[in-house]
Amino acid sequence: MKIKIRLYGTLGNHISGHDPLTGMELEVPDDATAGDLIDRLDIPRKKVGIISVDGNLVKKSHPLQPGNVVRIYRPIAGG
Amino acid sequence: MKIIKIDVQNQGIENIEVPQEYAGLGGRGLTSLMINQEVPPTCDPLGPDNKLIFAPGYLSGTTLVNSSRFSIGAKSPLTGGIKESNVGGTVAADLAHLGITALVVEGQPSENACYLLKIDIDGKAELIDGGAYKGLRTYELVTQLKKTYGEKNSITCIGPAGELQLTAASVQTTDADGRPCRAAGRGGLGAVMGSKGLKAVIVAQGGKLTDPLLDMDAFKAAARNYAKAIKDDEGTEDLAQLGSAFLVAPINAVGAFPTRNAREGQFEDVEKISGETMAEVIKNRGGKNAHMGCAQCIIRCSNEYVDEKGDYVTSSLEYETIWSMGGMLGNSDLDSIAKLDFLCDDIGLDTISTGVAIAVAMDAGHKPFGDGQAAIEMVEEVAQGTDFGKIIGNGPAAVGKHFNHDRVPVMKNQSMAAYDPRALQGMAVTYATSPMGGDHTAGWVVADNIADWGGKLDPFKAEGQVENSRNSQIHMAVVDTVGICDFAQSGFAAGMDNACHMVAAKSGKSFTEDDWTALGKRIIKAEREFNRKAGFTNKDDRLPKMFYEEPLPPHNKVVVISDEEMDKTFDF
Repeated sequence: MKIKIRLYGTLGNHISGHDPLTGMELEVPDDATAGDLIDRLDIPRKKVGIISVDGNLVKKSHPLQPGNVVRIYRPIAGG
Repeated sequence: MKIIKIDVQNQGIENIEVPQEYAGLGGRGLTSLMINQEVPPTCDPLGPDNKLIFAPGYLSGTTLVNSSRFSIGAKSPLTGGIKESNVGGTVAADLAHLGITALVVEGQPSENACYLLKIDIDGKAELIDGGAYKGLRTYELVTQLKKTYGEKNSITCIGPAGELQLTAASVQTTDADGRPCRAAGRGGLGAVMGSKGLKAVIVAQGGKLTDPLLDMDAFKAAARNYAKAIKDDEGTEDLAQLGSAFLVAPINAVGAFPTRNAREGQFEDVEKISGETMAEVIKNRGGKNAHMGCAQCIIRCSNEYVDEKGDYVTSSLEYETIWSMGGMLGNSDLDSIAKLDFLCDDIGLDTISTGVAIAVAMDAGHKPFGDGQAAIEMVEEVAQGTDFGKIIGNGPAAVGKHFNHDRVPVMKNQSMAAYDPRALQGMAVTYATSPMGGDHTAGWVVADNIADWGGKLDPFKAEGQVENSRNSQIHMAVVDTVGICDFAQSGFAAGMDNACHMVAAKSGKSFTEDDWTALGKRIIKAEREFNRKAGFTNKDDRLPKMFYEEPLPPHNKVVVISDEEMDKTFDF
């Protein structure tokens, strides 16, 4: 199935085909979870903060659906 | 180690040794203890009895990276309580290089007096007539002062808002490029500076009178560890790439980005004003990301935002301003946000208080949300000194009063920052109880409230929030005392004991983690004592009713911290 992914902060820096403003489309297996997507992109899980699917916060175990927009953010610190 | 006292009433200047009771202090610890000791709590903040104190952090001027924080303290005309507002740039390091622990400005000048305070390369202070600079905006002021006094000075100054003694007036200071774009924004300290008739403080750069470190080798080793921990921290790369604006998208994603005067917690146009968008715009137009704004900075969270022609608009466009002039106004036009940031720096206004003041005006129906041009016109009115401009320049509570509108997100009369307390209950505690009023830096407990950011607290529940905010506020009081940048706290990963070693190596006296905590408590106790004497009670440690009564979409939660719990925050 096809999903859309947006990577925030520095997450997309080394991902080929990822546009910082529009993200990218990806073909993933029908049973893929948000966590699988992170692994598929070779992003170390500790670099990931929150994940949202279609605007709702989800866990890494969340199963994806065709057409989902998955947003992955960096952990934060600061003020 | 000297304090310079400047009496603007009789133009007297006195150099004194740092009294024993203030030994080992700098920054906020020094300003707050001195104000509590020496300023009558019920005095008129804009009158002769208030003191305006400038103090570099205790570790400013050393070789420690990211240590050029400059604390400015006084009784606040905005909150009516004690205030410390700190700022980066270069002045803290410059003043410390002259062996100066603090500048204390006292008294009340004769009517229409306007002074420049010049500190030369020998650390000698002089009050100079500054009448020729009266009314100037900060960028033009700095250009003229540098022409007269030379490029090799840092300049700390006020704009028209400070001269008008408006309570959202900031004190601006020059960054590493010499632009007056760094703001000690909170609490209306620009108005106090204006009440002292002080237009600018000019500090010679390159001084060689830095206080000696009593254990140089120990200091160097600890400072190296600290810098390494910052470099090793992964967040440092995000800060360099996007600046503090990296926070826009994730804070919006968790529903804590106050939108349209905090009617919602998410802004539907957030992508247009996110850090990612900002960085791309800056890059494509030939501006600068990863810009060095402050002395000895190895993080480089600053930027230079430019227009479509590539011409300078402002530096640095930051998270709080993108919120206050963006989401809070329902304004998705990044160019107008950048222009508003510049105008606030140029006129000498706190971007947070000013943006929230405009948000309250829009909420009251004065102008529609989303109208960036209307916001620009309102800020311009402040500089013109119109009646309405003065209301905006006096901050959100003044605007609420003017429109008889009660949706005013202030605590102790100072606006909250870019984290809605209904979606992050920990920030409710910090906003309500900080002696500074609504202030995010006083105890930033955002990550502690979100599990995926390593937090252990439920953002919608009261459990643990009071204790966590208490600990954060105690810790921050010391961070603001030693003069370490908030964003450089990743350096604490090298160990709290490592940070304590640096303090001990400077003073030559033992300084442990327990001493760190004890110092934080001592500072907050002094601040609260001042506020009590100024008339504050437990009832001032509360949030406006909108946060208790209006559920915030998308989570539709309200603040659930009870008054009894709030009152346990400072149980020492």
